[in-house]
Amino acid sequence: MATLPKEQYPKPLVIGAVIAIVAIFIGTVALLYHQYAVETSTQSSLEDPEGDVEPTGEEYRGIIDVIYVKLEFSAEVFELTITVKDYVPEHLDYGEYAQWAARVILIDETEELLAAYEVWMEMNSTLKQGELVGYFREFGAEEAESCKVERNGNSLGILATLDGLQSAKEIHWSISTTFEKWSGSELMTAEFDYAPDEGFQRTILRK
Amino acid sequence: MFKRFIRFSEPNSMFAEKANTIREKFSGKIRDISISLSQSLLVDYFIHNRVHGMRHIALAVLALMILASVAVTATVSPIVSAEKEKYSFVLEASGEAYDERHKSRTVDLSISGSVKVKFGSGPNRKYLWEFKVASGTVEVQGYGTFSVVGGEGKLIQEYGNDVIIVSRIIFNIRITPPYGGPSRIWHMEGTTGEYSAGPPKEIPNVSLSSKLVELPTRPPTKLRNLVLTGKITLSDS
Repeated sequence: MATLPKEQYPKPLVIGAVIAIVAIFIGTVALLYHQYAVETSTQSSLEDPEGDVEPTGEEYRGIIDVIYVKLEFSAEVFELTITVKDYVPEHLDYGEYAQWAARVILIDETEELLAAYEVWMEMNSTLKQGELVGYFREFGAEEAESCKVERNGNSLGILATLDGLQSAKEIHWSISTTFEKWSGSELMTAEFDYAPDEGFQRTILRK
Repeated sequence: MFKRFIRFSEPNSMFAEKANTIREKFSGKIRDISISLSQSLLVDYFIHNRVHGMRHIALAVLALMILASVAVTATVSPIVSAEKEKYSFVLEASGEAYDERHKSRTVDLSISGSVKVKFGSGPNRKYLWEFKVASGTVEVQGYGTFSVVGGEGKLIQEYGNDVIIVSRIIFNIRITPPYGGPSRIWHMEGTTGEYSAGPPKEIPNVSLSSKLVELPTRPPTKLRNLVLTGKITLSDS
């Protein structure tokens, strides 16, 4: 009696299933990476460690120690709120200067650079009685435009209208803060904080 | 019991006998066997009701899996950056800074990595260069050589009528001591000259400065008023 040949697996089906499983695995990893690497939103935020002001190992002014930053976008309006460690006073002492700044890079659908801005708040005790003021300026522009600022305890807010924001698909942004104390023309103290510590936050805008 | 497909390798003349054998052995479970089919088609069509049904289910599951993978891939498409040119870069810059004894110290920086850029077109165009630092060294007179282990940079350039009108460069690099230990990040900003497509491809007149940086010594050493000048050389990656 003739014997049956050895049974075989249906190879095309198995190979197809393996390909599909691998594709799903790769897709899932890419999706998780995507969610990790970028935010898709009309707002964005970041947290920064407390006590990472430079120079290290010295007493520093908590008004520049960035704890939390929130960005909100609507049409052309850019709203930045920076929360710092300490209460921000109405005025600084004579010879003191503090700045809270954001660098904002707008990128369009085709990944071309739309515009890059600096948006900042500052308190300068030698100007305007040291009250909080805000400005924004496109990189390279000589003149800065003033904009609305708000102080609320240890939070500072600034509102700017940025051309190109409505067309932007992606924003790269970072925060830097500075505190300086001068004695005449001599710089006595300079302190800095950066957020994120290394590089830029990348936010994909939801339209 | 008959969960796997069966293939026969014998010629058709032997097939009828085997078909009969199968029909007897699996009586009631086999729908039909035809010798007019090729041997491999036997597998595909006429063996077993259960196998036949399961195959449809398996194909449906396979189709769903493929559709799901396509959907996931479409969802993550924004992370795919298209049409950017990619280069390897080397930034070499030298200058000086003042240590805590207010003494001028020469500083030599050399870093390398990759950079992506999308060149715009037209008389008024803007470029965003995105640098990824892989490695490098910083040598500070009197303090030794430190390793650069990472970082990133951005260069924003704007041209008006083919003349550079804006060039702003920002670099953040992570520096470690030669034998390990806590690292420090240097934040530097400055300007550059006009990109030259070469050869050699380069961005000349790079100027980077920082009011304060720290060396990763124990305790950290402050360097004030760091000013470096140099160039970025690009090569195809």
